[in-house]
Amino acid sequence: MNEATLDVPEAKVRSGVAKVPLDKVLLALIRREFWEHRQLWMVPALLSILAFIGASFIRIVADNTGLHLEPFPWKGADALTPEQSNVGVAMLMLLDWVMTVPLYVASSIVIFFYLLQCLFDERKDRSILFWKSLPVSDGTTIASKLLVGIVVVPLGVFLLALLDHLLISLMVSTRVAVGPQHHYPLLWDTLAWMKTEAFMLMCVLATMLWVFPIAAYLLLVSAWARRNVFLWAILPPLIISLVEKALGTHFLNYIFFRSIPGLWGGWGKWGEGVPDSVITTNDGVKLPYIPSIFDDVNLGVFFSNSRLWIGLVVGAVLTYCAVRIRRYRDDT
Amino acid sequence: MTMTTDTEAVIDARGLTKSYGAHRALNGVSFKVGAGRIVGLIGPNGAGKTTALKAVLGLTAFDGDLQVLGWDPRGQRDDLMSDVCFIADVAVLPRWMRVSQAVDFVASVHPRFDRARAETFLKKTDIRPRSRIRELSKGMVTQLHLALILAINARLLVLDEPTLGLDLLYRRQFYDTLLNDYFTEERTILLTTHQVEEIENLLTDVLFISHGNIVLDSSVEDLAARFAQVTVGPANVAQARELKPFYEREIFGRTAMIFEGRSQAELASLGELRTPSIADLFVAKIQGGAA
Repeated sequence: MNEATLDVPEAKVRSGVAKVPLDKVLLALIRREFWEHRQLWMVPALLSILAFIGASFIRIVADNTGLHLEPFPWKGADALTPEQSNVGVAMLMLLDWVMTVPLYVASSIVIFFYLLQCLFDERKDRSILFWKSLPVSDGTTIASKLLVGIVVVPLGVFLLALLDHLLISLMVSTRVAVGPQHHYPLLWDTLAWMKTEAFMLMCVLATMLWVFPIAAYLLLVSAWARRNVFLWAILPPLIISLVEKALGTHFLNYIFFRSIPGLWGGWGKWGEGVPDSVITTNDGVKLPYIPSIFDDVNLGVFFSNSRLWIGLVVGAVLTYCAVRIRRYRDDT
Repeated sequence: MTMTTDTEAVIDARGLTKSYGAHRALNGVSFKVGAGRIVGLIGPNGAGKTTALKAVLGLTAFDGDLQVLGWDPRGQRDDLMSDVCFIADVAVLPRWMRVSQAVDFVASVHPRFDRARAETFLKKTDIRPRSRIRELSKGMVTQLHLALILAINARLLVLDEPTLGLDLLYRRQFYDTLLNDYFTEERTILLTTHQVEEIENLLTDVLFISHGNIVLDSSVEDLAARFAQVTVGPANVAQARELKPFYEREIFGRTAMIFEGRSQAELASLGELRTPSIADLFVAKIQGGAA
């Protein structure tokens, strides 16, 4: 042995615990997840490219009812009435959003299966024995997987969607401005666009907090199940909800499945009760006007919601259980 | 087990007990391992070897007292693991990983990892950094695992059947590298293997375990004083049996007998005298003890 590599020869019992700083370990662990689970970055990357390509096939036409973004059934943006220009802005932002819905949906599915498989796979291929031979605690390991699933990937997806929204907005408004429909009001509105993206970001951040107990449950199943993680992820909540239906209780719904008060009223309830949050197009279609919804965001309501905090506590307990199981499980 | 008195025990186990259901894997096992020793934990399948190693590594719950480098592996595993390395079985390296990723990862999480050392070792092999572990032969995976371990300046190395399924060349190379490039007086190696013959010359100490009990705990140098094997001709068998060999075996019409605690003077007249190999002793202790 070379003397130079014996840098801690006198490090006797307890005195010389060498430690890599926690942030560096976490960073290495997070990077590792993207090496192993390449779908975590490949699927979002692919779908964000597809969203842009898809948006380039939008046909911009105009007739006597106004500007259309075909194939979407939204007609509006009448050149003759200036107050109608909001319809154009709402149409464009809705187009942005719709084009990136597949990105969000697919990424959520990828994250779901990632959280469900990650701790199961390492036991199945016994690589857990290698991971456990390194000075990385079970708590840090599970924290890294949670961070990847509910923070890193969602934020990355948000950024990709933001980029898509920017490119699609610019492309479509440029095409309108230089095309035969150039006498229609400009679709681009910087302030409205920024408010919309800010609202999207708030929704992503809020969702992180609200899905935490679900993510923790998936990790728990992943650390615990001997086989068939998917069944274990689906069946218990299903059975509990059936039992609850019979008993007339709503605990599961109370903790896991909720709208997010303070941000929006839930799916299909765009800006309910918020003035100007719904815009009616020339042919009577109601479009959400997200900048107005953003103006109405109430963080006080959001954070004073007991269901949020109960969910966070439940998530913390489930995470703790997952850590304990990974720590003491002995079946390799 | 003999230990130099000035060093604290690297492993100090007292009354380790572990049951899997009705099966008792460890039955109140006690042993000590001193610094700078190479200890073979040797026993038949199901004797409790792996369970004992798992206890030392904090991978399983158990009853009893256990200190490893002064830590309790149950509660202080996270601290312990920066001073302990183990190869549970080379098949556990993640198959999806690239060789370069494995080096990167260990380098970024292990405070005592010397990256240059691992890379120097890997350069001497046919392993390419871009290869995925699933593309490597089993022997190459072992070399990679060894490269990672050798580059970690740990004080205790635990090896559980590290060469299982490897051909002779890789096995020989594995142990040679371990001795020449890794082992120092400040390091301790605890290992289990089926291939006792191959590690005979490597070990400083042996622990035989059978049915969850330690049946022999000795330094290799003490074995010669404690045990003797005599090959006895038919005329002397009855006389030899009076000295109570604990194991005997017929070889070409003569009988090889193994004695414990008999002086050379007592035995020399009976036949050809020699020190039994660890493999002979293992068979004698496990089979003879059971018979």
